[in-house]
Amino acid sequence: MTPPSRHRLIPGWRFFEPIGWKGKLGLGLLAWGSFLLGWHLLSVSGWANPRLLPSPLEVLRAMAELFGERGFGADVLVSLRRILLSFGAAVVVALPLGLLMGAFAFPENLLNPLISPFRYLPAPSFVPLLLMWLGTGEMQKLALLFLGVIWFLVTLLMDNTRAVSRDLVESAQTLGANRRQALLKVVFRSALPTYVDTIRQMLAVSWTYLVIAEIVAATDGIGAMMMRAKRLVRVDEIMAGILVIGVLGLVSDAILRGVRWGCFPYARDGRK
Amino acid sequence: MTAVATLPDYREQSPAVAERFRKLKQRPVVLSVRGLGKTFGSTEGTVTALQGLDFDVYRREFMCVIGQSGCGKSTLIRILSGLEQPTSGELLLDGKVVHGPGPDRGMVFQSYTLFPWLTVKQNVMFGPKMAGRTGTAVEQEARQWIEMVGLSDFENSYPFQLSGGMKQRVAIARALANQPRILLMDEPFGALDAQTRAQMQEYLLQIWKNIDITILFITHDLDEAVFLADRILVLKAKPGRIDEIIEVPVPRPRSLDQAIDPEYLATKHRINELIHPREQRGGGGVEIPRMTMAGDEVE
Ligand SMILES: Nc1ncnc2c1ncn2[C@@H]1O[C@H](COP(=O)(O)OP(=O)(O)OP(=O)(O)O)[C@@H](O)[C@H]1O
Ligand SMILES: [Mg+2]
Repeated sequence: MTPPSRHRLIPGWRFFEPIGWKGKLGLGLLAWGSFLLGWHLLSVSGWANPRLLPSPLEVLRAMAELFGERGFGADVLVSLRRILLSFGAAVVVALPLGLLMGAFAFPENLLNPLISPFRYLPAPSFVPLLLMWLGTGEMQKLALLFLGVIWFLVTLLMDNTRAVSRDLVESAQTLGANRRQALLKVVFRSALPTYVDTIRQMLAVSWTYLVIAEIVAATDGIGAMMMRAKRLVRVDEIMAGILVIGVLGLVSDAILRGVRWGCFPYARDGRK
Repeated sequence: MTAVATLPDYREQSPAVAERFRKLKQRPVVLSVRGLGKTFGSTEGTVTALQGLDFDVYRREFMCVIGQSGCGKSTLIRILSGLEQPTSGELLLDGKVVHGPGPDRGMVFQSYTLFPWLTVKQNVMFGPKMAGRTGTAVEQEARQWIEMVGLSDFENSYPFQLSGGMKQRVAIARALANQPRILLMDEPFGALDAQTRAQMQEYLLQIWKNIDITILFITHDLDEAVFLADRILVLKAKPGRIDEIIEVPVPRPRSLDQAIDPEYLATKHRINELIHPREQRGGGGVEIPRMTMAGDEVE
């Protein structure tokens, strides 16, 4: 008899096989625990300059101080507002474009050659232009955040639209749907879950542009706080800022995941 | 002498069968196809998928279309449904020329095409809704169609909760909810296992019997065609054209037991001859080198 153990593998090492929630939690904690511990040891060991590498606890302390005594909450709200306004505007512009360009060759071939190349221009390269056109006010920051995501948003939403099953559209037509109904009730509705996925992923990109938008000529916002901290060599405060952005990004991601899960039960993972 | 040689020719109709088809052809024509042709053009050249098709489908008739893969069956039904435009000829529904898709011709596809975001009931109500009809009357009607296909317990289920056979039954109910003049079906049971398929065929005959509907049904399964059809349109490939229109002599109501009746076998044999000509049988003429050892022979 051959021992069956020859084919038994440690859970998590079989091809494409998921792991239970306990394993998930445990591995996640293991990674974070090791990371934080390593960081802490590095910072207290004296190998690194503690002024440039404060320990995780000091970062937490700085964060508590920022929120408690220095009114950092207001900065966070300002940043949040910037993200919501600029990203909201980008979605409002990109959604109809992505829908029409994905569904019809005419708008696609008219607009795609124009929009596509802009994806390769880094948004920060627009900063000097925006400063001249819009000054140093709020509009300039919103515009930069908008430009950071709009091109990709349009092309990705277009791809989502294109991936809609042609059979569904044809069924709708044989059931009497006119072009408008087929576009809105079938193409749009069918692509909606994938639109939400794209929007979630691009929202993460939008967060990455926040600091760039708030570095230049800003007096408020998370990025502005971090630039002030840099002048005073307060690395703990800079790190606290990074941490806050990370957490906000994760929370917004989780909210959109929740929307996706709750609104489209038929399109959850593994359902066909 | 093989069993095949003793089969009657299906064309030697008994008086009863002849009378049945004489009556069928006295009914009004629902769908009339006149000189229909379709050529696909592309950069690699042109393909003539269909050429000079002429036939009529009579009211309440169940017509099957059969033919080899690639002979143009799907192209034909897509033109009939209006999803594809013919390059020549025309299409008359109740004597009037039709262009483009419309609710007067229902279509059931081989692939599952229920709207995944709608429940069974909402799927069935889709057609009436597109026509601007809403309210409890429409909902009541939808329930009736769902009951007809035996899915009352699932009216609030989503398509992903249904088996393949159930999905196709909903697709049939959804097409019928528009009360079309003709129901077009392109290998609707092609993706189902043999047992579900047989069940669905019986279901479909029940539905057809009970409501005022004409059906044009595409298949490449000989048994399915003979079991379902009044007449079978056999297509020849390259270019697709009509080979023969077979009047199926098997009496109704049909049952699976008839599959060994001489007239059933004769009809099936005739289609088989038409779509798999003798010269094309037996490995397709490919010589395969022998790679087994002596003493390993099978017959
Ligand atoms: N959109 C198209 N463009 C070019 N050629 C096409 C197109 N659609 C079909 N054809 C060609 O027309 C012919 C008939 O195709 P069709 O799909 O109607 O066959 P079919 O009888 O339905 O085959 P199957 O039994 O495999 O479903 C084929 O040679 C096919 O390659
Ligand atoms: Mg086909």
